[in-house]
Amino acid sequence: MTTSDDALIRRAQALDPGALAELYDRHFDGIYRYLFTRLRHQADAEDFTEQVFLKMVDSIQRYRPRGVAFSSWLYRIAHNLLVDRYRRAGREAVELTEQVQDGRPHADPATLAQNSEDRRLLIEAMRRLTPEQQQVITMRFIDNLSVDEIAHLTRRRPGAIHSMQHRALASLNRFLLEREQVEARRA
Amino acid sequence: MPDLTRPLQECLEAMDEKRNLQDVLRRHPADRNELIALLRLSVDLGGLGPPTADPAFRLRARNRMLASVAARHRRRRWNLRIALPRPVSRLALAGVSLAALMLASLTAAAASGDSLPGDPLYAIKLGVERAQLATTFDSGARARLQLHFADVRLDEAQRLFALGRAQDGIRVIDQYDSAVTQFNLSISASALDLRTVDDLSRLTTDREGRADASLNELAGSLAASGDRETAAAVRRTQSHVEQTLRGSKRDLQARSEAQSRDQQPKPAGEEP
Repeated sequence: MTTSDDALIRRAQALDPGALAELYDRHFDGIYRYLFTRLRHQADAEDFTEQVFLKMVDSIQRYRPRGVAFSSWLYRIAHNLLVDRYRRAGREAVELTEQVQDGRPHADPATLAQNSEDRRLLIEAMRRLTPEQQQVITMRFIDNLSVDEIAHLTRRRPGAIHSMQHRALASLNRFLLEREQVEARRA
Repeated sequence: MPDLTRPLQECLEAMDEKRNLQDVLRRHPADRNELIALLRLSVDLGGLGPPTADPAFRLRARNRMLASVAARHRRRRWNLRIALPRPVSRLALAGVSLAALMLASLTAAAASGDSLPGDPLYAIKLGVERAQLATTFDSGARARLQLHFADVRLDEAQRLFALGRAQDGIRVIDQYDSAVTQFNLSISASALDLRTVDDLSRLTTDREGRADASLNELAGSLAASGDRETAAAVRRTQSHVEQTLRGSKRDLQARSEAQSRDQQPKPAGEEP
């Protein structure tokens, strides 16, 4: 955490509206992305995102850095909200599905179809990973969290996250290669 | 499967920090192709991300968060005023505190009644007087109080001189003079009804005689004991108080006469 972050958080802890708005602007996209990926529903993601920032206001005075990045603390709030939700719904994990839409524009219908097929294959390969690997890969490459943030959220050491990240990507690569070989044989 | 944890991490960090990836890959020639495949996958995974949030929602949520901050500020101010959890407890505690405060105040005020300058309770005595004046909004009652407190100063001065505390006595005589002047200013600046004017007029006449007698006796006593300087100071105060009270009396009498005239019925046919 930089000195300016320190100062910003101190001001936010004094419930300075400008500082809290600045923290909101900095972290909104990441938190929304994290929640949308897991909830797969826009209204739910919006509801949960709003709750995260309201909880931030409620509990920021209790936040103590002690080596924990502020973003990690914020993701922990989001994570706990999800855990509560899954617990109530009797579900343990969230899977990526084709329902997660890419909002970016595509060049043309052929590219769109190809992208759609690539996406389907990638998600299919993701499903073959262990739940822990899925979680780390999603946090790292879809939610764009840092290794330290993931370590804090998952209560693992950063070294373990590095290792899991490598194994997950290697497994994904292997699954996709196997798939290509199967398709090639069929053709 | 080779363990590419470290080289992969180096590559990902180079990408995050927008450094030249080739420099990192050159350090791991044997694993170059494997690393490129893994990095391409990491980029493809990023494409599975969700769409960005609706800007209108983003703004609404921001405003609601800031509204909650404002609400907390308001609650905090309120809590500072009444920092107790339950209304019944608050009421009970307020009642007990008030009763205790009143009891303590009354006890101290009663005990301070006879105190003199330099006594520990004298400050309480003056505080009670100020509080009484501050909470008396009726002009007539306020003027009576000022005259009463002037009497108290005169009594204190006499006791101080009797105790041989001439310097303190002179100081309090000055305060007595000031208190009489305050009374004079107070009645001249206030709108008073006829009954109050007559009442204050009687009181002023009474005090004029009493002050004259008391100060005359005090000055004589001081002169007899050889303290001519203090005796002269008391004489000066006597003269000043006499003039002030006489002025007050004239003012009150004039107002009394004017009000009496106004209250008499006017002759028939005269314009109001």
